[in-house]
Amino acid sequence: MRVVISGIGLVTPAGVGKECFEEAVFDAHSGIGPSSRFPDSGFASAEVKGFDFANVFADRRFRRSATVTRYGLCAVKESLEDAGLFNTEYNLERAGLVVGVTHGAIGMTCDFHEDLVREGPESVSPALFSDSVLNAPTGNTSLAFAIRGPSHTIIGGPTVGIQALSLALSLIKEGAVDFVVVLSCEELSERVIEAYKKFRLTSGTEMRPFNMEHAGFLCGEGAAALVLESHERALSRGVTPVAEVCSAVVGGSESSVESIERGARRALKAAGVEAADISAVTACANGSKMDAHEGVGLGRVFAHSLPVSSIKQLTGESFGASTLMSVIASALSLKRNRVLLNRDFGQAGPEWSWASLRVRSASTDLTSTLVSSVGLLNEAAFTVLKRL
Amino acid sequence: MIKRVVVTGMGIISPHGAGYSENLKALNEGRDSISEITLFDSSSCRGTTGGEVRGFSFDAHLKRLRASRLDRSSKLLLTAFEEAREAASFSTGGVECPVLLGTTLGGMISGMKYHGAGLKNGFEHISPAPLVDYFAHTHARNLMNEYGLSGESLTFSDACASGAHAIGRAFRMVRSGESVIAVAGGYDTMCEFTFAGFNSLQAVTVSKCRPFDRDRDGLALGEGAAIFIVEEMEHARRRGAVPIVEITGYGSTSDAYHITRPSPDGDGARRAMEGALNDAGIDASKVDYINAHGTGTVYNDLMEARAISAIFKKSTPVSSTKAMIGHLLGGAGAVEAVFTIMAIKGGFLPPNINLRNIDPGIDISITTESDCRAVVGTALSNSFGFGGANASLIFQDLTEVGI
Repeated sequence: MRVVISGIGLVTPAGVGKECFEEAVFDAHSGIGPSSRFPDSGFASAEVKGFDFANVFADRRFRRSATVTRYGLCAVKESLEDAGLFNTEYNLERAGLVVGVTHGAIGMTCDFHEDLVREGPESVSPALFSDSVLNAPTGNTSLAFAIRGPSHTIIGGPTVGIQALSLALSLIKEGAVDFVVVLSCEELSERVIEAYKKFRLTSGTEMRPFNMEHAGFLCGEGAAALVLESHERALSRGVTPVAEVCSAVVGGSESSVESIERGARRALKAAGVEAADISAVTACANGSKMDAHEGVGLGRVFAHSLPVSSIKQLTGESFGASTLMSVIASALSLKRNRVLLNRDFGQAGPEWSWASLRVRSASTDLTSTLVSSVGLLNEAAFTVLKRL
Repeated sequence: MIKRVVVTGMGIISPHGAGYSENLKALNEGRDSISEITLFDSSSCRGTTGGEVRGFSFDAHLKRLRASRLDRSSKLLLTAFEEAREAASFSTGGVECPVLLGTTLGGMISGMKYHGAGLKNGFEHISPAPLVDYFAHTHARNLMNEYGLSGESLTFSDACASGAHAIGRAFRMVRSGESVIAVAGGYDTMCEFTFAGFNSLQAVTVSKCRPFDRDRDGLALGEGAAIFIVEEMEHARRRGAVPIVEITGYGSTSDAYHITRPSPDGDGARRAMEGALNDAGIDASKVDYINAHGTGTVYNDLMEARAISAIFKKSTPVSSTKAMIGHLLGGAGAVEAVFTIMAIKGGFLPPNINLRNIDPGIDISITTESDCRAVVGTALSNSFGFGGANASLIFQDLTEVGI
C-alpha cells in the first residue's frame, strides 16, 4: 500500500500557516531572534509570532488549554482543511491520531508544581493538572475533531516526530484506520531553555547547523501536523497529495553513529530504494555536538555531493515538532522540485565533507528525499519521501 | 503472513510485592495492599491512602547505568525487566529487539526534585543531574543501553491505557512479522505531583477503593511495573523458550468525549473490546473472565459496566483488581495483564475486594471472592485513560487455541 501526505498544517516561528511556512522555507527566512517572552534568559530563541488562537479556533472549550495544545489544535485544523477532511462527513471511528511530544505542557506542569510547593495540595487547580498531562494535546485534539479511532501520545526527543509518523504508517497499513493525523508540538519555556543551557547544549545567541564548533542549538516551539492516508483513497477523494511516505524507521544502538548509519540504511531498504536514489537529505543538524555524529553516520551511507540542508536555523530546535516541520519542508521541496536552502552557517565540520551544504541552485531533479532525526540517547529515526 | 504471538516471560513489581510468585499468592487470596501513604506527606489531601511498593530496595548490579542517577520509575522498570528476561531465558546482549513501554509520569519524581530545588534555591544555582532521568523516553533507552539491546524504543503516554497500548503494539509488531521478539510493559511511581492532581479532581477515595460498589467514592493510586517478553511462537520454540500464554487480540479507540471523563454510554470502551474480539476472531461468549479497568470512580465503573453489558452475557465473571493494589496509571494495563494471565494459568478468578453493595445501575457479574475452581481459557483486560484513550487485550491459554 502506498501512503501519502494529503494535508499539512503548521504553527512555526518561521511562519504560521502552511503558506507562510512554505515561503519561509524556500526563502530561508529565519524565525530566530531575541527572546521576547524570557528576555532575562539572555538567550535568543525561535518564538511563534502573530499567533491568534481565538481567531483561528472559535471553540471556547479550549481557550484555556496549554500553549502547546493550542499550537497543536491550530496545526491539526489546517491539516484537515488542507486534506479536505475538515467538517466533512467521514467515519470518525476510522480516523486515528498520533502525537509526538518531548516536554508537553511544560509551562502548566511547572505552574502546577509551584502551586503545590508554595500553597499545598488544597490550593492546586484541577484544570491545570488535567491540561498538564503529557497526553493533554492528544486528548484535546481527539475531542476537538471527534477523532474516535486509535489515538496515541509518543514521548521522545527529536526522533519523536518520525516515531509518530512510523506508528501512523503502521496503523494505516494494518487497515485499522482510513487516515491518521500526525502531530508534534512543543512550547517554549524558560525552564526548558535553562535546562539545556545547564547541559551545555544551547549556544546563546546564534544557531549554526553543520558548523565545526558545535556551539549548540537555540530552543524553538510550534506545531506541525500532517494527514496520512493511502494514495488510492486520497485520489478517490480528489485530493492532490504533497508527497509519498515510503518508510519511517526508528532505531537505536550502543553508539550514535552506528544508530544513524543502520537506521538510514534500514529506512532506504524499507522504502525499496538505494542510497543513490536519494536526491537530497533534510538533516537534523542544529549546531550541537550531535551534528558530528549525524555527519559521520550519514556519510557512511551517501555518496559525495548530495545536497544536505537543515531548516533548524529557521525554526529553532523544537525536538519532535521541528522534526515534523523538516518532514513537511522536505515533502514541499519534492512537490516544488526545489532543494531546501541553508542559511550561512560558517565553517562546516569535517564530518560533512561528503555533503553539498552550500546549495545555491534552487531547482534540480528531486525524486526522493531522506529526513533524518537524531536523539541524545543513541536513537535515530528516518523517513524516505518520494515525489508523486 | 500473520504470526502467532506468545508471552515467554513476565516480570512484575506491585504493592503486592516483587515477583510473580508473591503477586500470584496475594492476588489469589485477595490481599488488600492499600495503606497510608509514606513516600510523601498526604495529610492535606482529601484521601491519604494508596498502593506503595513497600520495602523496595534496588540492588541490581548495573553495568552501565549509575543507580544514584536513576529515578524510582527506572528502578521499578529494571526490576520487572530482569525477572521477565530470566523467565524467558532471554539473552539480551547485541540482540535487535524493540522496547515498547507505557508510562503516565515518566520520571516526574526527578522532575519535582529539580524544580523544587530551583524554586527554593534559585534555578541558576542548582544541578541539572535529576533531569537526566526525568524524561519518560530515557527509561526505555536506558534499559536498552544497560542490556545491550538495539532497535526501536517507543514510549506511550496514553494515560491509564499506556501499558496496555505498549503491549498491544508489541503484539501487532510480532504478529505482522515486523519483529520476532519485543519487550513491552508499563510502569509508574507513587508521586506527590500526580496524587495532588487526582486529589484536586476529587477522584481519590476518602475511604476504600470499591470498584462497582453503590457507595464508591474514588480511586486509590498505586505504583509498580510489569514487563512482558512478547515473541513469535515459532521463534520461541526454536530457541527453547516455553510459551506461557498467547496474545490474540488488541483493540484501541478514543472517546472524543471529555478530557477527564469517559463517555457515559461506554461507546469508546465497547468499541475497544469489540475490536479486540474481532482481532482475536472469537465470539464474546468465548471470554471466561474480564479484568476490568474498574477504577472505583463513579463515572468509569458505570460506563464500563454498560459497555461490558452491551457485548458479553451477564454471567461472564468480571473483577477489578485495583481495590487490592490501587491504580498504577501507566503501569496499570501491564500489571493487570499479568493478573489476567495469572487467572488463566492458575485457574482462578481474582476477587473484586471491598465490594459491599453493587451499584443498582450495574448489571454484570462481579466476582467478589477468589474462585479457585474456575477454568479460564480466554480472558480480556481493559484499560481506559484520561483523554479518552481506550485499550483492550485478549489472552488465551495455549490449550485453548490448540497448541
